[in-house]
Amino acid sequence: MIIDSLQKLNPFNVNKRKKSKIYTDQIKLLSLHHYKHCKKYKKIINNLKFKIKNKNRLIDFPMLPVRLFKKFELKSVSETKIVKRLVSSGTSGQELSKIYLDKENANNQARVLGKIMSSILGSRRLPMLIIDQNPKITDRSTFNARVAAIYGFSMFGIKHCYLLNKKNKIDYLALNNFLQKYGKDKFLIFGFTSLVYEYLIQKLLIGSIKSNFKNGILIHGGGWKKMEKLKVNNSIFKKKLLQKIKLNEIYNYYGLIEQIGSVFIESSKCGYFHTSVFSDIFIRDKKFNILKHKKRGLIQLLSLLPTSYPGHNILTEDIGEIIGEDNCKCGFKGKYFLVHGRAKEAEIRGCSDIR
Amino acid sequence: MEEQKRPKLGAAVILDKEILNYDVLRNTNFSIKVSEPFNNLSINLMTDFSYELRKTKKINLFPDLVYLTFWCRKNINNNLVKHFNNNYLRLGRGLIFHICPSNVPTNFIYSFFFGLLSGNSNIVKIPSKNFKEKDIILSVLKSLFNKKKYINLKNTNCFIQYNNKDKITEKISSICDGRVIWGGNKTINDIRKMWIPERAIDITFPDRYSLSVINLDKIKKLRLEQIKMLTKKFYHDGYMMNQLACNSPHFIFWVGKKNKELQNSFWNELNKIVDKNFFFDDIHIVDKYTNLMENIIIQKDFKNIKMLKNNIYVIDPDNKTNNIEDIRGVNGTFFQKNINQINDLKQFITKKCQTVSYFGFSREQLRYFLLNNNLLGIDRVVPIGKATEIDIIWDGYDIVKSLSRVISVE
Repeated sequence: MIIDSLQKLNPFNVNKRKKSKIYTDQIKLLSLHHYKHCKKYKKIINNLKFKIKNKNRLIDFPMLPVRLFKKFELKSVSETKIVKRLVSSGTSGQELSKIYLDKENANNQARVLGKIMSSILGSRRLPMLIIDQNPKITDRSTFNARVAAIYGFSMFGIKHCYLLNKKNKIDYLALNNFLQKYGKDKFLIFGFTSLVYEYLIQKLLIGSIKSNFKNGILIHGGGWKKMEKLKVNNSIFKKKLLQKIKLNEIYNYYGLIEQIGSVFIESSKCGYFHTSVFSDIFIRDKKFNILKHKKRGLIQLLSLLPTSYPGHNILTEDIGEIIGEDNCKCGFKGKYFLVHGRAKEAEIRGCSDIR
Repeated sequence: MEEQKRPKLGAAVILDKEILNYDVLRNTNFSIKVSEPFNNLSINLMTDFSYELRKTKKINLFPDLVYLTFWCRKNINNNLVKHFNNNYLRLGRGLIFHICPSNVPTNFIYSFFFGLLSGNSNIVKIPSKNFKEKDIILSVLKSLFNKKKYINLKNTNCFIQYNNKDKITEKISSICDGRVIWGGNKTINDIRKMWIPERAIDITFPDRYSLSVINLDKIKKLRLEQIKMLTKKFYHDGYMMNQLACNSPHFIFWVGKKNKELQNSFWNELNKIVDKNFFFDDIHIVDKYTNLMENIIIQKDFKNIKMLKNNIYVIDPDNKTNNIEDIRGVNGTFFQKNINQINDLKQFITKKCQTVSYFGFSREQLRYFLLNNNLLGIDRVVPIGKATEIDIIWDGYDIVKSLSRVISVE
């Protein structure tokens, strides 16, 4: 199993040549796997008259548009093997992505996320403040991306403290307890970007806390559609956190619910997202040509993790640009890139839909 | 003009807090007036509207607004009054409630002009989405309504905007004399459940689909220049509304002996035009690619998919695919089929079929086809290039006649 052997590597220390070899082989194998086990994927490949078994360039493998996971159930394992069903935490009214995981896929996600995070945070597990409610006290009828992320990331911490109480209010008692006990040494903070903004930047009353966050290490991601609406970009976000609670070690992550585990981490040293050995990125223009570095276009994401659903090669609706590869000043190998937000919602012209 | 007093109408509804206000809308003097179809005031307003709109800054950035000015002028110049073949006395029905789609920036103004030209007072529900076109249209109208000569129109027409609030729709429905409802089938059904006065009428414009027929024997005889002209016209029909309007073609039927080379040269010429003229947003491409994948999953296996650089997708569906009314492309995705003669088209025509745009057939041929095949669909047959031109005869209605009433005088 490739994931096992890749686990032994430093995920941010694999160069272009080596990675390209791994991906050409692995994406082919994954494509064949899904072709055999997912009827809908097979139908797509057949209709596009793509021959997986031929010698293909990596960039020629058909990508699935991310919205397909909202419209269809796409899975490559039998119903009985599914242990977890994830749904995206999209805003109300939207269709949600549905991702089906078997045991192996779920385990690999956890392992890879662990590998990636420990190369950033070190292997020591730190006390962890979570900018959310305890998912155990909230309605768990759906296992959405937010809850999945909390569970996924909480592995990297101990002594978990949840900032929000049942009523979604800041629990100052718990917070002060946590800061008093652990705030003198390094501790972790984790949350959805929009929640971090709402609670730590907007709502937190400085007068009500007895300590500060200067030893905190924030990991945040997701929910940035809201941030776009608020017109708060990454650098404003960071600046405000520094100003308000003296927090300066901040890691943004980027990833799709369709590719949980192989997330992209924004290094605090350079401010760019990085691919790990478990993931890759291409930028495409409107004709789907591959764009050179420093050109903006649609983001295509590859992940070696998805086996129980065909999510290994996805065309996102996000716009980004690759800055470079293997030569980032932060020392990480792999491609480093920026995400510029969602492709603008089109003005849908048509004769249906009255709102 | 003949004024009807209808107490308890208007003001209360219009000033409902939930209705976002444009100044045009906040008019407490609202009353209902009816007049003859094509009365001078309505024609004058359209003339002035077209003129003022044309003068708007950067108007050329909005092809649909440019077309709107053209449309107004065309209708006025054609001297609609004379064309309005009418042996009876006619008056508008009263108050027409227009429920317009949220996703078409200019649709509401056409609907309004239909109501106005028919001699009615109008309440127009405008799209809630933000469209620059919408704002431009409203500001032109506002400035006209504030002129003294249009004070009567100002007080008898209003434009309102609200998110789906059944309460408001219900309230206006209960006092209107007719509704013009645009929308998806569900929306139309929902609105039709709301009570309207016994004498009131509904005109509905539900989801439709459209197609093209091309006579291969005729296209064969064209010079390259002429093929280019034809593809340019087709481009206009197929791309102008991102293929999302009910009159945008999705299927192309090639009539006559199959000629792959000719068909391909048509697509290749179209590709050049799209490449040169059409601007895709990133999201258009994502939508198009997603739509292709959805169609692959839902439909029978396609015989072939030709992807011309994301400019055009041309799809040959399975031979057994007969029910085509729900097979839709987007942003330049076309399905093609070969049939031997025009009469073979009938098996594909359902009630949902709206516009057939054609090349290479005589009107007699088309008339014969339309009359002798027991068709429940097809409301419009136009040469390729005219599919998107909205007309006063639309979706099987003579709209002005439908929105006015006949008075017999002996």
